[in-house]
Amino acid sequence: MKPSSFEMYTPNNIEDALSLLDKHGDEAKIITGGQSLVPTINMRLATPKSLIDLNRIDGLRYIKKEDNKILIGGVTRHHDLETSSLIKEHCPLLGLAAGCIGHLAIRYRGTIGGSLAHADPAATLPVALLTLDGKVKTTSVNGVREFDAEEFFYGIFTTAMEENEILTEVEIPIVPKEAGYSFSTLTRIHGDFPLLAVGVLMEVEEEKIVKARLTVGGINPLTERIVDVEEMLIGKKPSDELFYEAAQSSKDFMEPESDISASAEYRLHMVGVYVEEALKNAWQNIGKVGN
Amino acid sequence: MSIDIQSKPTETPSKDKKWVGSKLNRLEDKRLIRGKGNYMEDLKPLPNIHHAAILRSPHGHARIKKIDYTKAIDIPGVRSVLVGDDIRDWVKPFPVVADNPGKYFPMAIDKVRYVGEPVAVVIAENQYVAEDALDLINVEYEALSATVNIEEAISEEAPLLHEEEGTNVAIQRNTKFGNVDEAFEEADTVVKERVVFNRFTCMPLETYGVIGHWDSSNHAANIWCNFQGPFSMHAVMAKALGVVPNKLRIMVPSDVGGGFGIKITIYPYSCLITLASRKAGVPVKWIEDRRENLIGSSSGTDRVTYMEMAAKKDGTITGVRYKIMDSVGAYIRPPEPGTIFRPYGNYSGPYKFRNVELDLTAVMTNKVPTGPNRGYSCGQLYHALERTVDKLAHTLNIDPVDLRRKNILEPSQFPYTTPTGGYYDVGDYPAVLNKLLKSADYKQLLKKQEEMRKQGRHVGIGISLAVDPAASNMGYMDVGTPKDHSNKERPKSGSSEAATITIDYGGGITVTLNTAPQGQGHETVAAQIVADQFGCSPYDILVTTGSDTGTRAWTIASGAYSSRFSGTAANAILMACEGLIVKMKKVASHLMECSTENLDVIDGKVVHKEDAQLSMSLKKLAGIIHWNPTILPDEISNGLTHTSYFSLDSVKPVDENGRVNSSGLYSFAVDLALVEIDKKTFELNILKYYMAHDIGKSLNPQIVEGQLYGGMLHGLANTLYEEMVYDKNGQILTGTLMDYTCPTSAESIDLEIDHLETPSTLTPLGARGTGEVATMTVPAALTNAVNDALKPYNVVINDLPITPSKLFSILKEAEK
Repeated sequence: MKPSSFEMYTPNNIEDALSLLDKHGDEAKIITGGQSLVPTINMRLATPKSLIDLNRIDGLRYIKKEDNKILIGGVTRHHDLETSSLIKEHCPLLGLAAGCIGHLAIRYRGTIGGSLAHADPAATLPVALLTLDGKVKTTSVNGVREFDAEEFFYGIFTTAMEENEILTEVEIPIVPKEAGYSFSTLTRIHGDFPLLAVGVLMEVEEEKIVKARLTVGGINPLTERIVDVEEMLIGKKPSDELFYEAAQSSKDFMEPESDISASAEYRLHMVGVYVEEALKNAWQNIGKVGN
Repeated sequence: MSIDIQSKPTETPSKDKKWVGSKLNRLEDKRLIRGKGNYMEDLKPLPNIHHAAILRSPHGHARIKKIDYTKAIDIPGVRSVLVGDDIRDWVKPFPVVADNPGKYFPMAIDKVRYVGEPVAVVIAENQYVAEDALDLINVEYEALSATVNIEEAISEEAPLLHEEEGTNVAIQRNTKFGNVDEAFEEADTVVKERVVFNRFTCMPLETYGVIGHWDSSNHAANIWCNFQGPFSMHAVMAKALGVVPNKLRIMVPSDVGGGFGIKITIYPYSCLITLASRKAGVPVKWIEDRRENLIGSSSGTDRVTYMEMAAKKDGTITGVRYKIMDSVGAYIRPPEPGTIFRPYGNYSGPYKFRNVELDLTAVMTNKVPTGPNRGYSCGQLYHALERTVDKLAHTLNIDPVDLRRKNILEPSQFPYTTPTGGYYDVGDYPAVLNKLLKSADYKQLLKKQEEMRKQGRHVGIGISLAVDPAASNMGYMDVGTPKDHSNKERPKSGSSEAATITIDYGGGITVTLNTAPQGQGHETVAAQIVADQFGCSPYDILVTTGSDTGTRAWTIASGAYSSRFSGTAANAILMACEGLIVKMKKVASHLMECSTENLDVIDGKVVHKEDAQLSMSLKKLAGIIHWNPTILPDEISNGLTHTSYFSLDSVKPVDENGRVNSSGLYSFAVDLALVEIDKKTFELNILKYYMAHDIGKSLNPQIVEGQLYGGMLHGLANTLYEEMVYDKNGQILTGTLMDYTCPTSAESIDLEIDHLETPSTLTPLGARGTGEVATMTVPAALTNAVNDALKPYNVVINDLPITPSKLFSILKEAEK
């Protein structure tokens, strides 16, 4: 399992990286953490002619608060997200999602930009981004583009990004302290890619749900929010019955397939179990953001 | 969890206490934890080593029409390419005990029979170039129908893997012991069960590694590889390579990163890489990658068992019929068909029944060839036997524990010869069972289960018993030899091991073994044994492990497999110490002018029994022997090296009635599990897990505990997680760790472990085996527990692994 030969570029600033990428186009791949790319090239499933390494560029690894947003650099590691006090205070769901990725060694290397740009349907960070209503900024020699989470993901391993773009920043709106949230994954063994990942964000005012965001990953080729179920929750009083019904309804939007890990029926059943549990959890920890 | 790498023992033996039996921390760990081990990848034994990459079959079954490697050989850095045509004149098929074996070579010649079978080997300056060249080899295949299902492969309609044999059945034996038919005719109850055991593999962190060097001037092969024995495979390799035994030298590095059985079956690759060296004219190195490991190395057999059990009304088991069908993969590869013969002597397990029918079949399918996988065939055996015992208990409405208590051997029956020839020397099985039941508070547990069931929870209790065979008999395979075969004139037997101890001119003690351990702690236990004999510290003793058949004492049984170190090598080490002590006493008696009978060895000194002042240190004695040999009397030879060979006498050749004591030593184990099937997720929660054993004398209880935890995790992998899945074309669906779910420490469970120590009467140290025992009991105990949980719904699950998805569909079906 050795890769075929490739050129390795190690630019020291983003401008150089962008012009290299522009020059090499689809023959080049960006490498940061390498947690998906390295196995892919080692197994020769991909044979890029060149790799452009962003690790030597200062200023791409950060988590900062600006106004009512958390801004995260594209080369920020999963472990940074998992342990950041800013994230814990303002959007803890993202930290939970990062903590569900693989094993510690993987989280030390893997990056938010890499994971989102890779767009694996079983990945957890897209679920978090969608649930948190985040934005993605991409940069090329032509300038910066900004995408809402919904516009960014197209399907298995495909996004709105052009070949000459780098995912440079992720923006997450600060979650109000009154919100409740939940993030959970189903895996066969610890550290495995999840069979299912569920993210929920909920706000309640005067005993009524005023905001609900629900995302299920790992089942459909394209990870999306289940807007119909969100709408079903809005304006209702939180209750176990409501959450059960919402969970059952969310199954209608899932098209699981059977494989050697689990049958389609089991996966669908687990969507119901996990969504119900996630809604309950989010309701139970209403007002606990930042505590 | 903290990692303790302190170098001092957790227990310091005093004068009256021995190192053997103490929880000495493993001496190996200091270097291994710090990354200072010496593994295959670290070896550079020769100059100009080239690297191999193996082109493997993408088909489950196909004819090779043409191989064109002209483009590959043109790449700069590529030295040579080896293909099947090259080896026609260089190798003979690996010899094997089977009626219809087909021909098994280190690589495919005319046909490929499993996905992953080697088709070509590129030899290049480095691994990268070698792999580049693989893409440029053009192989033309004619795809053939494959057969992967055991019962289908046996049928006459199945595609034939080896056409010349006319069948896929490699070997089939039916033997009756006692009066089986009578037992079934006269039975009050007969229960029948079909049980399916999954194909799963070992997962050593270190994969296969080989450096092969063909020495053309001497027609000799020098091979470095992380082989774990048995060195009887040396004979298999020598025969295939066409070299005389002393021209085949196998060397194993001192550190091997796990084996669990899979590194027994490295030897075809050891031969392949040596043939690559023969073609290329340079030494060749190959380190297997994880993908190759998952598709092309080995696994345990998948098995279908049809069980029939005859019993009286009161639950006395009177007879058992086993109809066993194992899939050995595309080739029946030695040490197969050990999968059907290894437990020959313990097919009746811990039970009293004397009437047994063994209907044993090994069938070839388009899957990777099989071999030992921790517990070699005993996981399969006890899963089937213990499931059937539970079914009998269920049928007769007797508590499963009471039923077992009624049928297990009594202490008064020992030494006990089983109906199939096994020899259990001593034991108190009811006492071990009682110990477990007391720890588990079984009656209370039943009440607790009752309460939980009332709350609507799916809770089950499962028990399993096992007699764990260790130190296998080199002759057990002869039960498979056809009656008219010439091998009948050349019977085999024994389970032997060698050890050499040298004391240097400064009194330093070096133990040299050929046991090729893969992490079992041989260095530690060897040092404990020697320290006790010479009254010195184990930290001062140098133990050399690994293997070198060219320079060391070894036997055809040598190696680290079949849980054999504690019952074989440990005793050889003890005997080598004794040999040296006899000699040193002779020298001391000459120098001290007294009789050897008046001398003792205490605290590193030879001391006069009656006058403790009269003594000589071993160091001083060693100095005299090495530096001043002319003062020694003529009858005392120079030097201080002693080699001992130990063999278990109880393992004899197959007797005239076709019975054999297939292993030298038998431990006894009882497991009990309390499990719950989560009502929402259908995941299995193991709430409590108890074990009780009699493994004889425990040489190092800390190592024993580690083995039990490791064996448990292997058993969990077997029962709940792992399966090598092939589709109907023989395409493997679990070719990476993304799809092959291998549990890690995160999936481990806590064990409550009890021991009863009844030393073996067959060895001076009294130890039996322990490394494989938990893999034999865990699948059966958990399967029984899950089925107990399912009992209120009148459904059963008899096929492994038991996944949440399977439990979901079974319980949903039951609800309908």
